[in-house]
Amino acid sequence: MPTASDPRRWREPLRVWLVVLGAVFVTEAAVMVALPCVLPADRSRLLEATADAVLLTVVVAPLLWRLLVRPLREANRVRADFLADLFASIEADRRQTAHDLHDGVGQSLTLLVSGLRSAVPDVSDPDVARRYLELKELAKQALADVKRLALGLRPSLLDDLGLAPALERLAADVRANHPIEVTLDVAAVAETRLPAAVETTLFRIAQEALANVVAHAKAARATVALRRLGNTVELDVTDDGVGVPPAVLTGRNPGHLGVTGMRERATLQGGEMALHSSPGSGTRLSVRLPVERGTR
Amino acid sequence: MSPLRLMLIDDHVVVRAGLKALFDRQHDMSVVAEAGTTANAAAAVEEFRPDILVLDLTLPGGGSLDLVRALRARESPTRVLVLTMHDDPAYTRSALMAGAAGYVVKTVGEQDLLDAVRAVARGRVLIDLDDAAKTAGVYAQIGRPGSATGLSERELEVLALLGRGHSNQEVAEKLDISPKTVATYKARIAEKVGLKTTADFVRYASDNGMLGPLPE
Repeated sequence: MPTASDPRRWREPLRVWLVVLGAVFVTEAAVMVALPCVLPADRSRLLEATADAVLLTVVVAPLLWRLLVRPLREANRVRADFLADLFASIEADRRQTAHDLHDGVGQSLTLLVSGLRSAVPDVSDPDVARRYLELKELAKQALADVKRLALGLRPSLLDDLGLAPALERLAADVRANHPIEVTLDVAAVAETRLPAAVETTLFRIAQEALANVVAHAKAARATVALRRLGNTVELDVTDDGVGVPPAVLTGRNPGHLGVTGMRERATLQGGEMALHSSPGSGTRLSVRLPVERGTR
Repeated sequence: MSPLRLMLIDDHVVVRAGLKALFDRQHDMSVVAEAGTTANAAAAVEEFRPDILVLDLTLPGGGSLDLVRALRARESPTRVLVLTMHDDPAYTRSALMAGAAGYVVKTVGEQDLLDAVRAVARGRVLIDLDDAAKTAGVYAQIGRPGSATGLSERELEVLALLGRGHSNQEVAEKLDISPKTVATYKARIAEKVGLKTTADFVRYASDNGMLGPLPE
């Protein structure tokens, strides 16, 4: 049997609606019948209205609190906890898989490349020599692929060295693969480590933002800046592209999880995210997170 | 000259066995200790007093860079050569800042690795990320523009001699290595710096001020 604190109770909105309406109806009817008997005959309309309002409020307020406010707050808390756990477990899985790829297959391929290099066969047959070179290149390519996969899951840089080097790598990869000039300003956090959850949140938001710039913005330039303001850290990703459609800005854009996902991540971390844009004048995404805040 | 005393720390047994076999085959090297983690590693370094510690970066329990820092804080004479899969320059910078003397990625061939060990033993800072541009970038950042080509010290020696017009045979005799090894060096230099003919070598060495008096 669901208790008052069970958030699932909130899944019965129709029942809540009926109960509140019924309570209002019954209270109001009772008040209308009872008031003439209780109040003096020469009562003013103001006294009558006040008595009516007080009685109705006294009945409806605790009802709304129990049926609506408390379950809703509880449901929000459960949802936030669940999302935080979900994000954390996705990151943990990705970290583990990336590590296994890099240190498992990657290690073997590394030994293969190194071994092929060291054991140059003494071949006079040009066909055999060519085949050897092809195989060596194949091994190098396979290693590069494995490293790319591991990096795509979760860069080990983020865990080993922190946010600034991970963002540097991210920016370098965008520069290398797209005709976008990415400027990075991370000096504020270059020598410090932030709490792991803050680093992960900011990295994922920056990654998503840059992916959006690459995919949609048609920008020539983008900047990623990190600033430390007292006990908060602020991430700005700006571009000089075509801007974001209003539907995306307001978050009502089914099928585009990106902006919603970024906002959820920021909110879960106790921070906020703003997206400013108008067509033709580029986009600016700002995230502000508190630095001191448990592990979530 | 007594052989270089090496200590290996790498959690992959196969890697460690391969490295030990390689180093022990060299007449000037001897592996005196090995471990799979950094636990008690600082004490082991004090006990065995290796000249060079060949250290993996990603170890179970971590602690590689902490070990490097600890050795530097103790003013240990042991020089650290990081040997890792990570070819991102950020790792290289953090290792060098912690106090490592060398940083080599595991994909390099055996000869490059041996060159790196010998260079670090001679007191050089040596970086080989198996990518000339990346390596040059790190050298430039740590302020060693003379090494910005990404060439190893041995390769620079070979390049300087070839640049003076010596034949492979003459270079081999001067450096006490086989002509075949010289040819290998030459191919690698060509690949890293983008040189083809002997004339290219001479011009490159001349342009880069490598034709002054050789050391020693």
